[in-house]
Amino acid sequence: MKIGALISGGKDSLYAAWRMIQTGHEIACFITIQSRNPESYMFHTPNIGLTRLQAEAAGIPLLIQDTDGLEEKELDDLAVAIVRAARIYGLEGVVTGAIQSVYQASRIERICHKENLWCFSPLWLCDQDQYLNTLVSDGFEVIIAGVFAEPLDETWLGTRIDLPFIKRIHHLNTRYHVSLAGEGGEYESFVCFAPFFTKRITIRDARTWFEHGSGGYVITRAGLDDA
Amino acid sequence: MIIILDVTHPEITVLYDEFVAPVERIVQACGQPVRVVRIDTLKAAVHLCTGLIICGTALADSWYRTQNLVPQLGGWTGPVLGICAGMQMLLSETGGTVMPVTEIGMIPIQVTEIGAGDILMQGRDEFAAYALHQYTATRSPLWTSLATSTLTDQVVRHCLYPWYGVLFHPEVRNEWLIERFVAMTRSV
Repeated sequence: MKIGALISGGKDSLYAAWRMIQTGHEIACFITIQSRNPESYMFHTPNIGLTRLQAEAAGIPLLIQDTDGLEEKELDDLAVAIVRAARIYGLEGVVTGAIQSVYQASRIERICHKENLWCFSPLWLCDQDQYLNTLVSDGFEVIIAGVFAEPLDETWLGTRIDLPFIKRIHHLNTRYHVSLAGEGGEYESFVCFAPFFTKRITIRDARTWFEHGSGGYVITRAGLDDA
Repeated sequence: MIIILDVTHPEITVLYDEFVAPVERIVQACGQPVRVVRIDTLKAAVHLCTGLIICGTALADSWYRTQNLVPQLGGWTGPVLGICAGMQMLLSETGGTVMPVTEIGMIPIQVTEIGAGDILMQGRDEFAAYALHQYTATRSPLWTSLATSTLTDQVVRHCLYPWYGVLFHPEVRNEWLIERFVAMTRSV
């Protein structure tokens, strides 16, 4: 099946795309919704502008749709993007990285239903511990690009999701109920390499910020190197 | 042992991740051994189990509508929980008719008077549930309604056997319903 992957630059959307490839589907395009509203319910993530590099690293065309990011209005922009992508790339379905968000999943499901497209969310209700371990063992290189909940602080920014990370986040999960996969918005991530990339994203420069319990790792310069 | 019947399209194996694995994990967390089967192997396995759960599938997946479930039960009348597509199969193969009704997202569920007295629903009055379907099925007099949404029956029970149908997806935010079903299979 020809699939459009809704990607934010973070681990969940790119792992979901990988899962579709693993099970015999073709990712015909990436679709990124670029929100101008940092409070966007669905689409704002740090470094969203760098999905361009991820698309290039994967050799997959990218369709970008800008949105003002106003609640519900941004769904119209998502629908426009999906319809455009379906027409250009002959999509039969869409894949999302939704894990637990009924808000996110049901809105994308409605758009796909209206447009006669399949909607896949292979991470839906997944075992988050198993997912993080698979992410690492499958060779994903992922960094923490934003923290938005205590006790996550600036020391987490830019760190890689690896086995020590999983151990640390487990500790916070037990003690403070921080979601292992960051599904509650506790943290955001950025994928530098995935098993279906032919190139690797190298971060050449970045700045961090942290205030009032939230922080970001903003990649200001990055390039592609051979994988 | 609980058997989980996977009625997702056999050529789209990724659907297992989304519609079967979450239910499998809930049953496992209940401490119950579980085995997932496809419909072509159900007949050979069903007599070995204490309960059968039929999972749902994607909104765009209509493969299950080409299948016949009840003949594969081979006369077995143990506890069954048909989720979404599973409920449609149970109802439509016992005198009901599949008809289009689309509900997507969280919807309010109202438990009926009969439902309030049923082992699966007791103690529940109103709650929100995650719906993801474009069809429902009418029920024959063999079935009774335990809970409804504004559009259709959401939980039904067979009058003779411990067979239940749930149109919404209880694995999303209503895990208690699957847990109660599993507990019930221990006592039936």
